[in-house]
Amino acid sequence: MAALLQLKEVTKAFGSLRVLDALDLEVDKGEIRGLIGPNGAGKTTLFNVIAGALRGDHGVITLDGSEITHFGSANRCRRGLARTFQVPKLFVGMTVLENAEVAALFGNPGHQSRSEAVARARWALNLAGIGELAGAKASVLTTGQRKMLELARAIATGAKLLLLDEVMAGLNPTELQHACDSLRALQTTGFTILMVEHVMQALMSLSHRVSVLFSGKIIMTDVPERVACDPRVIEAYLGKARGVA
Amino acid sequence: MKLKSALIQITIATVLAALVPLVIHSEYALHVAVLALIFAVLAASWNLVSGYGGMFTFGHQAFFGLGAYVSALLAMHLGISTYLSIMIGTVFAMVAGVVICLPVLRLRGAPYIAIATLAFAEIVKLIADNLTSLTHGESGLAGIPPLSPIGAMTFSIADSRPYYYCALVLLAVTMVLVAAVLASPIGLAFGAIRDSQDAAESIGVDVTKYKVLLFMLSSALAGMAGGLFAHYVTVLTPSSILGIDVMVQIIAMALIGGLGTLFGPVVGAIILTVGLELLRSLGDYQLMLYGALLVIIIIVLPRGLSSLPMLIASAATKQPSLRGESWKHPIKQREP
Ligand SMILES: Nc1ncnc2c1ncn2[C@@H]1O[C@H](COP(=O)(O)OP(=O)(O)O)[C@@H](O)[C@H]1O
Ligand SMILES: [Mg+2]
Repeated sequence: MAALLQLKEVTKAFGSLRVLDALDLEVDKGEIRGLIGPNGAGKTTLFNVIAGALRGDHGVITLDGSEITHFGSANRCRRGLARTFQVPKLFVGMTVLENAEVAALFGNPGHQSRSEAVARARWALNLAGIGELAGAKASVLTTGQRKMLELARAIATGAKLLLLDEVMAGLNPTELQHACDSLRALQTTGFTILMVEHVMQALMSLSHRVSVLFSGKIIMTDVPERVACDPRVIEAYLGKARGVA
Repeated sequence: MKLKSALIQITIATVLAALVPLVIHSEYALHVAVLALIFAVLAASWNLVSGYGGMFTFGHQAFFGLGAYVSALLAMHLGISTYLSIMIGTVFAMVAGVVICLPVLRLRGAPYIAIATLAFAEIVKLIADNLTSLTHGESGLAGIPPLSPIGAMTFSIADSRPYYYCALVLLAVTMVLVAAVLASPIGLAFGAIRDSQDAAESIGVDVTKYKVLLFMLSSALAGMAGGLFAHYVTVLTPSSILGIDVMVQIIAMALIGGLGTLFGPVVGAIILTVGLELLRSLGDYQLMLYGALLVIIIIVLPRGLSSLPMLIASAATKQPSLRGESWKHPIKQREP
């Protein structure tokens, strides 16, 4: 299968702290890939570097065969890559629908009318399960709804690849169930998903494969069952996570 | 606000304002009204970058002053039509807007943006101060021609009435332009950038492009207001038009009326310009009372006076008030 996203020797340091150290990663078209790693391992940093919010120090990033290493965030988004923020960054002065509408208008390179953008925005809200909130102000949403609006906004951009940074953190059990259903539906619709998640059960049941980030590198990528049993992972991550959870 | 209802409101307000000279006959009162309209344009233009764009610039007087000086000097020395000179002054201000925008693009924090733009405006003022061969510095550039006649309508310092209509047209055009831009996709991009620059970029908004556009639009409108001002008062000094007190006035107008609202800056400009004149009899106490009123309004009505009708309406229908949880202060709501 062809890789949709490919990272080669990507490095990112903050001062003397080398968060990503010559990291290699490939995400295939159509898969749901989980990304785990202890707190502070650099998962969000990796997302920032992939999405273009931060520039890597070295390395090459390729999306669907073309190099995007030197592109800015907006450009990467228009080329088919959208992300959510671990701490939601909504447009609080707008309605829920408008939040998705901006994404639909500006995330797609092709020209489209306002009504097409609104239609796409509604479709995205429905996929994220918050269609009935369209008219509400984004500022009044609950944590769970905020996370789903982050997701809807990413969907509305028309991206092929979604980078989801802990979209399930802080959801109640019902919302969690809905979110899992949404992600499965997205995968069936043809989206490729790379997700960071601390809600282990959801991550393990959704992901086709899981990659483990540790010491700035991806130390293993495998099906969830094998990752969960790997002694290195248990030591580096799961042991700790169980303690926290 | 939907574009259609905004346009209807602008039309009604313009028609009502057009009737004012029929009621007010005092030349002095009309003079104050002309100043109020010109300042309304200026405040509305600053509201674009600050209220809608979330960038608190502190050097807007530079665009006002550039538009005024460039137009005045061109009309005086080249003898061209004042409308042409105002257009050139407007373009000048717009170019200056792009120039000052470039360093601002790299700055995220509000204090840095304020200081960078203030420094720019002070440089413009220093130039006007020291280029005495052209501007005559603080002794003042006098003898600026009044606006060129339009058909049978002639302009002179003795009669504020024609200027009143001119300023009203400029304000109406400004308001329609602002309303149309805000209702377009560009307005959505501005809103996204104001609320979260990171998120705006992440969904494909070219933040640089839209910030430059916002600055161009805003500085051009300020420059145009400056041009009209120059050919109205016919005397310019750097401190009267490029001084920091002009900026303080603009901010006060926008805050009192309602930052980030369509009509707020206009309401604020009218109240402050007229109010300051009314308080003039108080002498030294004028500014004290003025300051106190400002503070009170900002505390009691953080969204400005133009939010008053909505507040009353929501109180009457017992809906959650604007000051409730759903409300975010326009200055505080941006990301750190
Ligand atoms: N902008 C930044 N400047 C300096 N250090 C940072 C920055 N962002 C993240 N870090 C540091 O990089 C490390 C990885 O952080 P992060 O990517 O947020 O981890 P994770 O998402 O895996 O919990 C942490 O030690 C964090 O303190
Ligand atoms: Mg993180």
